[in-house]
Amino acid sequence: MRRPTRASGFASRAGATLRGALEHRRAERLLPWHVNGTLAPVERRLVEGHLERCAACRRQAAHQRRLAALVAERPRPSIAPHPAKLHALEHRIEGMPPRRRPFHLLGGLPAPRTLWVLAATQAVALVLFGIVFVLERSNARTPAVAPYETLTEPRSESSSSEPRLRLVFAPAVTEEDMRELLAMLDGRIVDGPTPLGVYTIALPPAGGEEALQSVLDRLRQRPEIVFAEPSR
Amino acid sequence: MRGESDREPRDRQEQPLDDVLLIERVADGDRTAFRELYRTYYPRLFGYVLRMIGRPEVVEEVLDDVLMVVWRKAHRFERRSRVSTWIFGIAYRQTLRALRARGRSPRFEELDSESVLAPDSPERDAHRRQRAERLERALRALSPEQRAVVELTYFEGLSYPEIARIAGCPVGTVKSRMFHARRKLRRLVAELENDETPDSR
Repeated sequence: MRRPTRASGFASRAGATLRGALEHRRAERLLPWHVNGTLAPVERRLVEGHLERCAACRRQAAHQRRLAALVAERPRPSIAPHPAKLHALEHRIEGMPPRRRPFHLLGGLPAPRTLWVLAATQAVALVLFGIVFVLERSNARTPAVAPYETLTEPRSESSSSEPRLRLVFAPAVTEEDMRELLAMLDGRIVDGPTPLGVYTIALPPAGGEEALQSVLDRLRQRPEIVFAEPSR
Repeated sequence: MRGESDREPRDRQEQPLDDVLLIERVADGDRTAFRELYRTYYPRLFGYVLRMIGRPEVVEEVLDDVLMVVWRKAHRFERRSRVSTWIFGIAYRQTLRALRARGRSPRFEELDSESVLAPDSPERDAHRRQRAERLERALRALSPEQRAVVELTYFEGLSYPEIARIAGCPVGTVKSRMFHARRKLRRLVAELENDETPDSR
């Protein structure tokens, strides 16, 4: 076997020093959490091993224990919430818009259970009113006119440059949800809600027919949209 | 204070299922669950916010804001984190917001140290009070972020990954803030240690 040359010996000693320095830095930074006992076992062993070799860190650890004791010895206020405060808070809550939010509007899956309950509720409501809504969930292009035209015509004039659609939201959707959705589409409400809960939404003119179609596709996949059709 | 070295890190433990069930009920709009959550977390949150802000009347307002956020955002809670981490995260952000909005905490002299240290504490030990006052002065030299790390580490006894989740920052940032905090607090600790050695009397 070849003897190690002076160069490689030096390199390995320098390497060891560098490793030592890195280990020291690492252990030193972990000291507070070694002191409060929350380190993972691997890190704890690293710190303990290093403490055996490093007097500076042992002193540091002692300082940290002192600091920890000072911080922790301060009295812990045993404040119970005053009933009046709770009442005032609940009052504030009551002043807020409807709270039920079973969906995430911008991503995230709704709880399946909640979704089916709402879908079932909606279906019941539709049957009761004797109105059939077309629920398009596929990505296929829709015909220009929906098979069942049961909604009233939009009351406002349609400007040719702005593509429009008509939306019905699921019952539990809040106003905030609607605003977020509209912001996402860059759309604005030009009519509605009608007694059946139909909104007419105008989209930015630049998009055109194709953009409208892709928007409709996206909307129909969202559980908070019960109905989405182009407007005449 | 926890010092046993063979304990598992706290965030590896299972969190109480009750808390998760409570949050989910709050997300459904259950007021009773909200009240229960409020009562459970209020004392601990009060303590944290009081230590960070120092003015009891402001603390009440901040706590109200924290609980409003809990109420409004309960549906966004994800099971993979702990409820306490999530709530403390909200408290952390609201506290920093309040400090920025109102300017940093008032000069120490203006504070009634009684109220800062606990309004109804029976603690009368003069030495302890003195130490606490000196500690308080030193802690106020830290940035709010640095102080939060010290409080969460040594008062709440949290691991650094959990603190990172609460503060919404990388673990390296937590360690760095603690490192700088330690440097600023070094003098205080040394002074107090000197005061306590018999020779200095």
